Amino acid sequence: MNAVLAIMEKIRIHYYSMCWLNSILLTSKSKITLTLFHWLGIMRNGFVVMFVALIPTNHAMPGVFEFAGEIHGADVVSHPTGYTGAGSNLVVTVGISPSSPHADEMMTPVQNAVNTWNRLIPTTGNVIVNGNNVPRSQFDFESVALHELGHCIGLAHPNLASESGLTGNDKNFTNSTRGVNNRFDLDSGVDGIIGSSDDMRGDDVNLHWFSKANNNPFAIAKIVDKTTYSRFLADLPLEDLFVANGDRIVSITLSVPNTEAVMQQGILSGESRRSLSADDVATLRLGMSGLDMVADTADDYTVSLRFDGFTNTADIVFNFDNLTSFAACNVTGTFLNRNQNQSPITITGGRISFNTNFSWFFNDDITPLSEQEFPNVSISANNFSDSTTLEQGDNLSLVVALNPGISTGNAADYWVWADTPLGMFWLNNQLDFIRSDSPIRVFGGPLFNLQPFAILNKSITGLPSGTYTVFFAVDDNQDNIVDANFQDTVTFMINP
Amino acid sequence: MIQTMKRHTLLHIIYSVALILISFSGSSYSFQGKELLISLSAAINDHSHNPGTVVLRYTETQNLMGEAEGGTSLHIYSDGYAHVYYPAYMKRAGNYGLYLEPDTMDHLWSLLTSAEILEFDGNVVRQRVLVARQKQKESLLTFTNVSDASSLIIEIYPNRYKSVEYMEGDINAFKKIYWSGLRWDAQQFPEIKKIQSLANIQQVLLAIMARSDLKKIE
Repeated sequence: MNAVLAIMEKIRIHYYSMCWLNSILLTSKSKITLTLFHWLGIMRNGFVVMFVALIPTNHAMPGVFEFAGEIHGADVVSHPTGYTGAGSNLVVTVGISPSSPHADEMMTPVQNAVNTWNRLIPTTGNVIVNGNNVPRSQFDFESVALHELGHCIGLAHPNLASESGLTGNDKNFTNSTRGVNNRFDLDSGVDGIIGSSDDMRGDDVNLHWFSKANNNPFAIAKIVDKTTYSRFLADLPLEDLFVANGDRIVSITLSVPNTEAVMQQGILSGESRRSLSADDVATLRLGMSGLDMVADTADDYTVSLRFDGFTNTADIVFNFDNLTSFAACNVTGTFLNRNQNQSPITITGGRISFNTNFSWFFNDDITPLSEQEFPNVSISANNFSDSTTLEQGDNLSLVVALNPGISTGNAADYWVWADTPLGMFWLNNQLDFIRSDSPIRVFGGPLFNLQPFAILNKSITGLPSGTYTVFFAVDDNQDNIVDANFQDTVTFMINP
Repeated sequence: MIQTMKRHTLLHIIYSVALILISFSGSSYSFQGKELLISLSAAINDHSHNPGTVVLRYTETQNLMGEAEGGTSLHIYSDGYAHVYYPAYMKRAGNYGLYLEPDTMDHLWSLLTSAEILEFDGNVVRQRVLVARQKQKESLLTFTNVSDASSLIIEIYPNRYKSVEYMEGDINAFKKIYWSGLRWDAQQFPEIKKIQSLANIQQVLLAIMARSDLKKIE
């Protein structure tokens, strides 16, 4: 073992700041040493790809407003009940019709949906097919209720949904009007993915508000108003042809799989979609920037949904009244200024109808009210979150994960480093571990939902005995200086 | 996710095949848009009856659902047999059948073969709806919008029961109508006759599908 350590030290001295793997390949013929660094080197093929694939740029883009379209105009913005044009905290009441079938069963999921809109937290990975509590042949009432509530506070479908008259997958194209030629022009572009940024839509008039800086519905910017968002295609990033929407297939291409805007039309039996996407949050926040659509001005408002229990007099009422064949929200609106061209609209009420002929699943788990205010980072070794002990020949699996909570999309620095018997090693942006006494950043960009990912899964054969501590940290800024505001560590000991 | 992707892929294949098939059939269509919806459930026929004797296919799909879910359907054959299909996610999931009474059949037939239906042009009716909505916007203090309405497809073979010599009596000629949000449009626009006619037919068909004497087909 002393021989091994001697080799390590030699490498450390002579190949400071070089990749561990490359160092060994270049300098050592020691089989043990090669093995040691080979297992570390697989990070290149795993973590790099993972980061390149999963880290979104600082994109943000809200969706579509209720009533926007051919009749009321493409620029129409709809606001929740009670908005008059003056800054305020709007309280929109939500109730369940006392005589409705399933009234009792609706209580918990409706409250959950109300709380979800109130929290206004953008999430990723919100489409859960396996691992939820929804039976395969049933529809999750809470997910559908969340969608319909969105309509009742002014949000429309990001996609060309049923109101377009289109059928099949064409409904997944981004919401628009038909344009001068009076027909939808639907070409999914080079990537063949409907609803993505390279769609070619002819003279269709886009209804989907998007970030001027970029075009991704699965992250959110700090400021959401007309200075950062637009409806006009001329404001798209140069390489983009049309506005991407929050469809689940598009989410794969943007490296946030299993994510879909709650307002996207299309939910399957057996799946749940109970948390908001950035797209949903951004749309509501754009409306909250008021009539001038500039944030932090006097006409801005906030909106709170208040659950009033069993009542028919709330602003929004749920009812299994069979007025619809599945589920729908009948939204009523009025002009804020009738004399104004494309006047903003205020929702005056919503009636959410459900049909009893379907197999509905009523979630009875109350979603905790506590918000995850801060990012949650984690790193584990062989599924141990604190520490573990290994013997020569054992396998080691290092897994990192990040849940950004309400900080999704905020600019951050990402760091991964290891304190080893050989000194400090830092993961660089090529995902090589570099021996360095100075910090090396692995990534600078927005916080995003990083699902548990194995950065290492390999036999430790050849590693020197001793204590290894690996850190995974993110900062609350992007200045390339280690702050490690949110971090987690794991330690593993290798016995001689 | 993989499961979802598989469902999307399967759906894509089904649609592609269906579109190819329909491109070889000469018939008239009436859609709100230019697209053709091929009813997934159209493939669900009661094998005790010859598909060539179908006089009506009705499918209702719920747009809020993913496309892979399919919809409820009703097939009526020239001998009066009605076959109803409810997907797995419905409380009545399964296949059902019954023979319609001659009076019921004749009444339905008169509705299906009326000029309002056989001359139904989806684009023309859509324009009328848009005009009506525009008038509502200008005249009413408040206006409504209904999210997530369902879509229906009605496919009628006018020469297979008591022929009305539609398209020169071709027994395979059919009239296909697609409409989304019919219930709400019928409620909002009583003055549009074609919408009302379509809504009347839907009511009759839904009543058949809800009959308590439907027998489950095992």
